[in-house]
Order: sequence, then structure tokens, then C-alpha cells
Amino acid sequence: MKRSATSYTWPVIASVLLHGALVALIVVGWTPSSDKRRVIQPKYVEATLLTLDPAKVPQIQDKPKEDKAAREQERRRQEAVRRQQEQARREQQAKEEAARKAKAEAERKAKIEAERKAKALAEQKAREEAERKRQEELKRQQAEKARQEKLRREQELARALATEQAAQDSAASAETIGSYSGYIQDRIASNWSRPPSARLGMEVELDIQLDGQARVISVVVVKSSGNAAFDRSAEQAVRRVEQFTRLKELDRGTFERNFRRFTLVFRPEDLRF
Amino acid sequence: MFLSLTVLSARAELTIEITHGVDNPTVIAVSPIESGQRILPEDISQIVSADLERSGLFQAIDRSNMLSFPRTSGEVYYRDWRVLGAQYLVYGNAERQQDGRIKVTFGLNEILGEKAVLSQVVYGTDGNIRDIAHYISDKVYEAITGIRGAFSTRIAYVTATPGRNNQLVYRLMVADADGARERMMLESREPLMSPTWSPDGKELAYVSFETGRPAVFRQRLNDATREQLTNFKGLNGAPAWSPDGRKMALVLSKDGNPEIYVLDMATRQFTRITNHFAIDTEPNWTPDGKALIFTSDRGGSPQIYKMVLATGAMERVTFRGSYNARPRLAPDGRTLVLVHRDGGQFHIASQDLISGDFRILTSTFLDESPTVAPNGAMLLYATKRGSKNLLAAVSIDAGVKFLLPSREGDVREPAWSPFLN
Repeated sequence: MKRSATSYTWPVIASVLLHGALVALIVVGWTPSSDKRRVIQPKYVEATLLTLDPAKVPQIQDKPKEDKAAREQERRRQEAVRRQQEQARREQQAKEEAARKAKAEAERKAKIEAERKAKALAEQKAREEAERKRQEELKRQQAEKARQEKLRREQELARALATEQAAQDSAASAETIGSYSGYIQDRIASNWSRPPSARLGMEVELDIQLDGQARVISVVVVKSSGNAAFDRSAEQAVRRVEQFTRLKELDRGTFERNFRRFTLVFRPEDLRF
Repeated sequence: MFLSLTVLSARAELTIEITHGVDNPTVIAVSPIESGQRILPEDISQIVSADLERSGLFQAIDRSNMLSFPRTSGEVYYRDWRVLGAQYLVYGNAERQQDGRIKVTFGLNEILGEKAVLSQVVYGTDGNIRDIAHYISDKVYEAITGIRGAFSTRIAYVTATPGRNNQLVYRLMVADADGARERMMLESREPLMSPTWSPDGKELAYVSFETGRPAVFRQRLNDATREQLTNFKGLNGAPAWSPDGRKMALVLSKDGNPEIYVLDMATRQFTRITNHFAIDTEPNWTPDGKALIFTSDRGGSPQIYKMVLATGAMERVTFRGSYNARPRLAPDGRTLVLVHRDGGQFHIASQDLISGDFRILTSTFLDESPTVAPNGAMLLYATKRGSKNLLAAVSIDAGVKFLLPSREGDVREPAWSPFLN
């Protein structure tokens, strides 16, 4: 209620003003022809005044005209005004209706638009999300690729380093192997008692196997010298050593690779003949 | 030390070459064949142990250190012998048979390889226990060294001992290679010299002064029958049987100065081999019987020469030092042993005829008369200790030296027999 009261305030004022103006026009002898121009006026007003309930418009009772013609004129005028007002009201209503409709339409449209927009937005968002995801995926893939590449490079580098290291190792290792081979040689030579039948040019080849503690576990003649006593002297030289204690100093790999199993060639060079 | 590493591509394995050795004696244990009740007159195991040790190639483990006395391969507990450092173990068992003969079963096991190397049976009597023992020694030695054992061989030598009126008595003796079972072959108040064996080991030839001047005799060992081969004026000496036994090289000075002749044993014909105003002496046959090695001072000092009998081609063999004499060739035909003077001292030396390798084998003084064992592994020689002459042995590789026991007096001019079995 309060709301509608408020909403009629401005039409009432407008109506009062209009009536005042009509009185003034009558006073100054305005011709009705000019009324038409006047009806345009509500247009302006109506544009701003959305609704106008004539019933509620307070009527200002004009002073009765003495003049009957004038009164008739007045009545017609009022009738015209009333019609005009009615017309204006209808127009207004139509306009309002149109406006309402337009508004509703607009609202509907707006709603649709909003929905559309929302949908579009959602779609957009989804698209964006998808794009974002795609980008992310792309990024991830790129990162992965980069990571892989980096890894590959690192591995390559590591490999290169390893190769280099291996080369260095093998150089160091050759030295180590040489040194420990010399040790084996000394140990065996100091235990090798050749039989008097041993002769320069004799050669026996033994296959030696050690256990993890560098103990001799197998001595096999691979290539005989043809002299059983000579062959046995070589076998015994190895067996007498029992354990190549110092080989335990070697790292596991070097030991396994080189000394777990090796070949011994006995070829005397210090005999008389 | 020479080091050579080869990685074999096929097996990708490390190969280490061993080019030097120490040639330490092989540690051997001879478990007593009889440890409880004794049925044999002599200790076979002790003889075997001593034989092997005397070769210089073995070091025997003392019986008192042994932890067990196995008699068969099955009784061998290897750990017992490993802890003693033994490389080989000889064990055996003796049984007296119904006919009174002795049956000895013996074997040889390798300790480190834990395997039997040899197993044999030998028969004998109470009278030849030492022969059984030397036989075992020979087999064990051969199994381990790859060289035929020479423990069953004998040696001949001359002794000179003061007799009545302090006059020297000369005796020609024969004994086992270890000096045991010495047997006198001849006794004389006149000098006996240069005993030498026939190739079959059944006879000896020697120089005797019994006739008042030197003469070459031959004598059979089993029945002591003897025969005088030379009776020339002057020097008759240094007999040497040819390898086939049909000839004898010797030195005669019947034509003026000592020259080498060859006597045909069948026809008794002498053939003069050398003809030089210098002294040519001490002939010795090469194993193939085709050439003679001898000492001559034709070059100004005593040196060894070689002459091929078929062609008369002569070559000087020794060049080191100003005195090389009394050559003897080892059975291999290339190892020459001789007496070498080095800084005023006489030593036994060896020279390899092919490589020229020359080494002095003895460190005693006034060493003389080297004689090589038929297996070429050892040599005997005469030397002096104090004022006494005695025999000593040395391995050709100079690994061991030992003195032969001599009961009394001087012992000279040893001669090692050929293989007798």
C-alpha cells in the first residue's frame, strides 16, 4: 500500500499542474486546436510516469461558469480532456502494457540472453577450462618432455662420464690388475719347485678358480706339458699358496671380473736347458 | 721378475705367466711300513726316506711328527699331512708269505690334490730288504720328478787305508748308491786307480800297479774273474767302455807321449785316435758312441776337446779359465761335468754343450773325479776334508750337496754304475 501511495504522488502533482494550466489557457483564450499539441505533453510525462490512475487523481472543482456555452464548452472541453486523458490513460496503459510486455520481453530476452550468456559463459568457461587444461596438459607435456630431455641429457652426460670414468677406471684397473697379477705371480713362483725333468720350452696351462675369500678351490690342467711331474709341480705351486690373501683388498667387481677365475701359464725361463 | 699379461679374447680371462721357480725340495712323508710288531730285519721306510732326501729334491718329514701311520690309501687322512706341510705321502704294508718271501704293497698319494699317484706291489726276501726299499724310492722319485730313480744303482771307488807297518792298502770297493752294503772287489798293496763300469753293469775295468807298472784290468763282479787288458811300457790308464760295450778307450804312452787309443774288445786291436805332442788323456764316450771327449793341453793349458771318431774332426769344447779336465758326459749327452780350476781351487763344474751355460757346482776344495748318476740328476766326486779324501755328491742343478759316509781311510775316484735293473 505504501508503495502504491508513493507511486501516485507524482501523477497527482502532474494532474494538478495540468488542470492549472488548462484553467490558465482558458483564461487567456487558447484555442482547442492547440490542444493537440498539448496532448503531446503527457507523452513526455508518461514516459517518466509509468502509471496513472485517473480515478485516484484528485479533481479540482472548477468554479461553475456562469456562461452555459462556456459551461458546455467547458464540459466538452473537459470531456475532450477526459477522453484525451482516457486516451492518454489507455495509451499510457497500452504503453505501459507494451512497456511491461517489452520489459517482460526484455526481461525474458534478458533472461534468455542471461541464460544464453550464462550458458555461453559456462561454455566459455568450459572452453577456457578445457583450453586451460589443454594448455596445462601441453605445459605438463612440454615440462615432461623437457624433463625427459633433461634426464636424457643427464643420462648421456652420466654415460659419457661413466665411459670416461670407466676408461680411467680401466686404466687404474689395468694397473691394479697388473699389480695384483704380479702378486699372484710372486706367490706362485715362490712355491713352484720344478722337477729335475723340467726343461726350457715346457709349458702347462692351468685354469684356476678362487672362492670369495680368494682361496684356491679348483686347479685344472687345461693344456698339459706332456710331463706329468712338471704339470703336477705347477698344480702344487698353486695349491700350496692356498689363499691369495691380498686379493681380498680388491673391490668386489675387480675381483670378480679378473681374479675369480684366471689362467696360469707355467713356462720356465730360469732352467739350465 | 718377468711379467706378462695376456687377455685371451676367447675366454676373456686373465692369464698370468709363471716363468721362475724356487725349486725347493718337495716335502714328503714316508709313513712307516712297520710300526708295531716288526717282521723285517730293516726299516724300509727309513731307507726310502733317506734315499729321497739324499737326492736333494726332497725334504722328509720326521716320523716323530707324524699324526697317523696309514698303510693303505683308504687310511690316509689328508688333514694330518697337510698340517705337516707334506706334499706327498708314501705308505705301505709288509706281509710275510707262506714261502717266506716278503710282499710289500706301497703307494704314493698327493696331499694337496688328495689323490693317489702310485700303487704297487714288490716282493723280496730278508736278504734284499734294501733292494725293496731302493725300488720303492725309485718308483716314488720317478712319479714325482719325472726322472728315473737311480737309488738301485751302485758306486765303485778306491780306498787307501794304512795297514801293517803303516803301509797303505788299496781296495777296490763297490757299494749301493747310498754307500751301504759295501763290498770289496780287490785288495792290493800297490795303487789301484780309475775304476769304470761296463755298460751292462756286470764288470769293472781299472788300473792296477800290481805288476810293478800301470796296467788295465777288467773284472767281473759276480765271480771276481779278472783279465789284464794292457801291458805296455809307460802309462796305461783311464779306461772307458764304449756305450755298446764292444770297445774301450784308454790312454797309452807306448809311442812316446800319452795318446788316446781305442781297444776293440773282441779282436784286441788298438787303434790310435790322437797324435799330438801334447798330452791327450781322460777319454770319455758320447752317449751315441760316435765321438770321444777328452782332456788335452795342446792349446797350452788343459782343456776339453771333442773328436768325432768317423771323421777325426776335432773341436775344443771349453774356453773358460786355464784348467778344465776330467770330463764326463751326463746321459743326456749335453751336460758335461769336469774339474775346473777357479782362482787356484779345483771345483766340479758343469757346462751345457748346446747353450754353453757354465756353472760351478761345488764349493769344496781339491774336488776331483766327477761321475754322473745314470739318471743324470746327481754326480759324485772326490774331495778333501782336512787331510782326508772322501766322496761327496751334488745334484747337477747344484741344489744339494752331501758327503758319503766313509768308514775309514781315504776314498777316491768314484764311478757311478749304469742302471742295473
